[in-house]
Amino acid sequence: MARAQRPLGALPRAVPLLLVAAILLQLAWGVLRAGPQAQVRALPAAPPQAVLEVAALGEPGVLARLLMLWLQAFDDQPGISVPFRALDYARLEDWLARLLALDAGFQYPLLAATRVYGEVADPTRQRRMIAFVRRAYAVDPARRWPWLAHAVYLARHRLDDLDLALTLARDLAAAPPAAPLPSWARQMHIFVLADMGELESAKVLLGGLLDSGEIDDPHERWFLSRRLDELERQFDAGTAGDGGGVSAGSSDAPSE
Amino acid sequence: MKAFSSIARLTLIEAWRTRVWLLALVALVVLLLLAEFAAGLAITDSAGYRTGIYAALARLVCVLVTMLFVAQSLARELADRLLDLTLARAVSRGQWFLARLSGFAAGGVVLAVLASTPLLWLAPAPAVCAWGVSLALELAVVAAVCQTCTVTLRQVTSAVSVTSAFYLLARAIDAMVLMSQAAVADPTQWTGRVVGEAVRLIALVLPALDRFTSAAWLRSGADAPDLLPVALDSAVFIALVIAIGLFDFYRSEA
Repeated sequence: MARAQRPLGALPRAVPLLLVAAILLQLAWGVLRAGPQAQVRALPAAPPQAVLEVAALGEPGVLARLLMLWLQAFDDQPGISVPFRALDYARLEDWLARLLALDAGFQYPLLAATRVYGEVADPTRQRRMIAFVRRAYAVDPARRWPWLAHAVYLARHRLDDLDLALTLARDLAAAPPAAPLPSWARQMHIFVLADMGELESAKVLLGGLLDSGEIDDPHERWFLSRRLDELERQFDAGTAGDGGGVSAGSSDAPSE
Repeated sequence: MKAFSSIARLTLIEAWRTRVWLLALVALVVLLLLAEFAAGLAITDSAGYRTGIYAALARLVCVLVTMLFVAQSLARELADRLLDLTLARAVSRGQWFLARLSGFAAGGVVLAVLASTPLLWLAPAPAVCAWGVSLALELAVVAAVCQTCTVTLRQVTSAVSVTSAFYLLARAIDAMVLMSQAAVADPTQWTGRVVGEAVRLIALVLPALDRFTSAAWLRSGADAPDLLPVALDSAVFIALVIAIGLFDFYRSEA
């Protein structure tokens, strides 16, 4: 119900004048007042897990998601964009680990570790993120294998560290049989070995995989068989070029 | 002048008799225990956890208590037609409005003293004093907004909702201004430009409450806060809210 109102003329003259003066004063103060200053803030240390559990008020999954958004936005602070290299990766890893501990089924911290923070052009930080993902994978291979597969890619193509890529790929291959890893993930170590020039090992592993009968998809069998043929051709070419007495590892060496 | 001081004093007496102070006291004690609990869980920087959690939550509790007390007190006065009785005497609407606001602001000072006292054991005294003064000013701003909203809207729910929205916006407006200027905001999009200008315009008529009563002031080694901009921000904005409130109050038929 609308309230009855007096006409403007019934107001004491000072009241509208006061209103206009106050509006002008506020606008003038708003213009004169120093604007907000953008300041780079360092990433704070992650609070203890127990504090987060209490702060979650029974909704750890929700808190983990909210904090992940905050963490993700931390490099884009109001008014400033902070390069990843300026972030303290030890603290970042602590935060990611806490969020993962809040909700074990939450995949976002692992995605961020491999695809966001792991893409930084700094090998030390990349290795830290890969190590974090590897530890997380060891706890729950069934759910976290995709991120270790990403870590293999990071090690292989970003770090150019084939030994690390092979170690990670072997972790994937050693996943418990019950873990629902697709066969391409379990076979990654074969392709890493091939990349390393370990053609004989790759050939044996690939042949063994095909013989084991684990591959029942005809397209996949065809793809892997073709890959095995390629490896055998490379291996034969390598042994022929080296007089048949050289290991597969030397197949990439320039011919004399 | 006598009527002015009587109305202001009666506002404080009402706060005493309705036991608002007791509610605030209990809430502050609970917050102290909560802060102590958090400090006990922390492996390091336990003093920072204790001070920070207590200060940040005490500030919110004081704002909430002030808001509810102002809205409930004025809504009852309006609903019971007590205001008509007051205005039937030699008291102008302007006097009543300013006297009530002075009473609420004085109540805010008492609340700020209550909230600051435990901090004297946790942080340097000058920083605690600055924090307390800033809190009193912040509570005066909230009381002014809530009083104007209640007198205009005449409903506790509406008044508290609008005041809460104002408070949240005023706490976030600086960050919003900076975000609207950030590189992620595409300047070639007209919507981005319009939103950016709108945010800047809103910031002109709001106090920057995120620069008030910061828990960071209480950390040992923190720079002494400059209270002059805080005081000016409060004075200018309270003057604006009073002007708006008086304009509407004089136009309404009691």
